[in-house]
Amino acid sequence: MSEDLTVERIAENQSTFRVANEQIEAAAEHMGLLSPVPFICECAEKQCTEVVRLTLDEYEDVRVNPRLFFTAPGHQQIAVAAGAGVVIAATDGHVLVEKVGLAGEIAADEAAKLGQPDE
Amino acid sequence: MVDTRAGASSLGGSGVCGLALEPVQQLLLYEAVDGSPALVFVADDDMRYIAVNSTACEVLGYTREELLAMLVTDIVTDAQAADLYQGMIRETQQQGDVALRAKDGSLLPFVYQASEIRINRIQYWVSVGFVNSALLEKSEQLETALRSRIVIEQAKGVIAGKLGLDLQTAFQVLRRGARSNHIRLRTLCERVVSEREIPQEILAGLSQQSSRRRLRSAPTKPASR
Repeated sequence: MSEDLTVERIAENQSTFRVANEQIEAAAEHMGLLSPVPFICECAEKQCTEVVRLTLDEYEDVRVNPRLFFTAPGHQQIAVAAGAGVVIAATDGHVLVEKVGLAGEIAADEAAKLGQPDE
Repeated sequence: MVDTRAGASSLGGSGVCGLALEPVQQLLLYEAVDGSPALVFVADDDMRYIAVNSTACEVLGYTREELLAMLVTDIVTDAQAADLYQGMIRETQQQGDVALRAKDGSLLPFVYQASEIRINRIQYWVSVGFVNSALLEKSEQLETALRSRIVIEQAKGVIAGKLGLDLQTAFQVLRRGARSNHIRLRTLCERVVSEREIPQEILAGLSQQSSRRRLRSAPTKPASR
């Protein structure tokens, strides 16, 4: 299925999806969307193109914690199996995964960059 | 057992379908209708409620006495409610969906079927239906989303006005403040709107940004020979 992902690579891949989703959120916000917005699954699989629909409020609730990511159901398995994350909630539409250990630290570092002013 | 609740006698002695019903049958039928998961309303030609079942009372939040003192147009909020009612009388039946106003002011999407009934040769109108819970859930989600959007839009306006930014940049500034301080964007926006001041979380980000710009624009020191 995928290359043998290291914990670092898992965290980096997921952070890349998070950056993309921040842009999706900004666009949805600009359009004033009220209904669920199609975000990109933030799983560890770099090639993943699965869509996860969240309202902007739900999305913001995830982003408060820099170690939290959402994935399509089942897509959390790579991170969990590698010990990079633990499932903290699951719904029909998505799974919430909290990064732990080194992956958590990388995720928090990457999130801090989101809080920095644009270069 | 004698049922003295309003509406218990409205089925009349002739029963539905014109067949005579024994008192016990009337009572059973009444209990079945009253406890039905459907909302049941009976009204007269003048749109006065004559009988309502318990479910209608529970869902709308009114007592039976309160509902029986009301007109159909007090509950059905559609501007065309009176015309719809006249249409039902003309056609002797109707089906559709309308919004019902509950006692707490909320609007409930009601899908119904209405038809004529005659009791002791007097014409009444019975409407049976359900509140569309899926639609209700959707409209509640939209209402919540809209409330959040309003406060975010207000905060964007405040930030844009105070800092001379366009609205998209104002959103980026707000979001950076929320992300870097691990607080909800909505919470930060509520503070911006209520305090009418720029919160420290945002100011810190701005001063960091201007420091970076100063560093970038500062003349570089010539290399020493």
